[in-house]
Amino acid sequence: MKSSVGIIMKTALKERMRRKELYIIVILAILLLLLCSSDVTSITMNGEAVTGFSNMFLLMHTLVHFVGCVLAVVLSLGTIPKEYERKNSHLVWVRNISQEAYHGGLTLANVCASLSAAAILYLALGVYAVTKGHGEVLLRMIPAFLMLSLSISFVSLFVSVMSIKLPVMAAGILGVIVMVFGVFHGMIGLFKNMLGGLGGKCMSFFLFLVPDLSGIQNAACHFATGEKMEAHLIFVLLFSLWVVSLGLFIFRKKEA
Amino acid sequence: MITVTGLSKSYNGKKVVDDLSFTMKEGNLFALLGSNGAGKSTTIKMMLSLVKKDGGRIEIPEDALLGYSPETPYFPPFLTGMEVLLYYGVLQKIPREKLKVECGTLLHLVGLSEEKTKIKFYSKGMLQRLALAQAMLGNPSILILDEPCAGLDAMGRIEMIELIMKLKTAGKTILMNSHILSDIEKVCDEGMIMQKGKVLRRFTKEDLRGGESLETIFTKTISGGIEK
Repeated sequence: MKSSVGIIMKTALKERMRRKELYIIVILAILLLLLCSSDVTSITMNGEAVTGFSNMFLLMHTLVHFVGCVLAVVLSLGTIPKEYERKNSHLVWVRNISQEAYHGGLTLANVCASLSAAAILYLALGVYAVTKGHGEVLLRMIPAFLMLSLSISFVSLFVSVMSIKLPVMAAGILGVIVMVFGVFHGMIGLFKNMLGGLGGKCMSFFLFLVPDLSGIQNAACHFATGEKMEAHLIFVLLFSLWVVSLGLFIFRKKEA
Repeated sequence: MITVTGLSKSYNGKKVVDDLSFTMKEGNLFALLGSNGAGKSTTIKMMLSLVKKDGGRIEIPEDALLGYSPETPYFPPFLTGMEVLLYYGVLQKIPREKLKVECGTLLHLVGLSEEKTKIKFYSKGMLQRLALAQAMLGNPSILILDEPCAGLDAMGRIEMIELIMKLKTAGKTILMNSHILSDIEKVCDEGMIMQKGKVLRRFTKEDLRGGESLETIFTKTISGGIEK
């Protein structure tokens, strides 16, 4: 099973890395990062220019996280149904490869492709830190990226698992909802407090179900800049990853 | 020997395979004929467990390995023919050291050994030949070929039929589904004509020797619509 998952993942990853959406989004995000790195301003906040390093690092970190999650949706959506659509599944099923191994290999490829794209963006963030004379954050950015990876992996895993059972459109909409609620968890939480009635209750329900990806992003950013972070969110996300990955064993295709 | 008894399948209440029974003798080439929607592909998919059957039995010897060549093969376009075979060989758990030799032999057999280009540059005929090569990985005793000549030009069809003949001579049991009756006529030992999931007529090589071409038998059977 191990070698089957490995070869399926390797081949699928090669295919994902050839998708032009990946490069278009990454290039656009890097351009945006470059734009953000301009520090010509006279506005200050807490004695530091708005475009000072710590403010901009937080902003860029948020941007990398958001783009990483968007890429996770784009790269993971429809990849498993496509395998069935072009009947590649026939040649895999006839070789007695279990659905868990097949879908698992394809999902791992989605996660790896999303993380590779996020890594390129994170590298750009590292370059920004060095050019601003904050090379000391570089080492701490490695574990910070691993934290961010959990968040991006969650989105990719969720979309991949949902697309086994749901039509592509439904899986995509659900994936975007989960991504938005996760990435803007804190902000939506504030908005929910202002909103009452059914709308507020619905938001509360979604906020309860979706892990706080923005909290993870903040924790990663704080870790990178040497500030205090909330570690318990990592465990919550690891648990959420485990729960969603169970879908690989529960959701099954009836026919190849 | 493969025995199929009372096989049936419905989609949304519509029967696509209806109480189908047939036997394939070892070393023979069995042809499944019929118009579009006759239930040939569904029968093949049920035999390969790609589609769940509603009823009936499919008896395949336990130690028999099945090879399958699909009608419209899709292979990752960025791989070469060799890489495709290696990919499916690993999935089939063929030991690595044996696999490389086997892939080379199979590519040679289907006439693709000199081809180093990526799949995206392959013609339809080359894809069909590669599909046949992947079906032969692990040296299966039973081959299921779904429209192996579909989309091929005259030369491609001749080469494919020659290849199938070679496999038959090598003792493989082959189930072949095709619309090209003249091709089937050249290679088949027995077969059946299907319509709306049912068998309309069974035939053997001897029936074809009687003077009537398969095309005539097919046309008469389809317009007659009665099982003989």
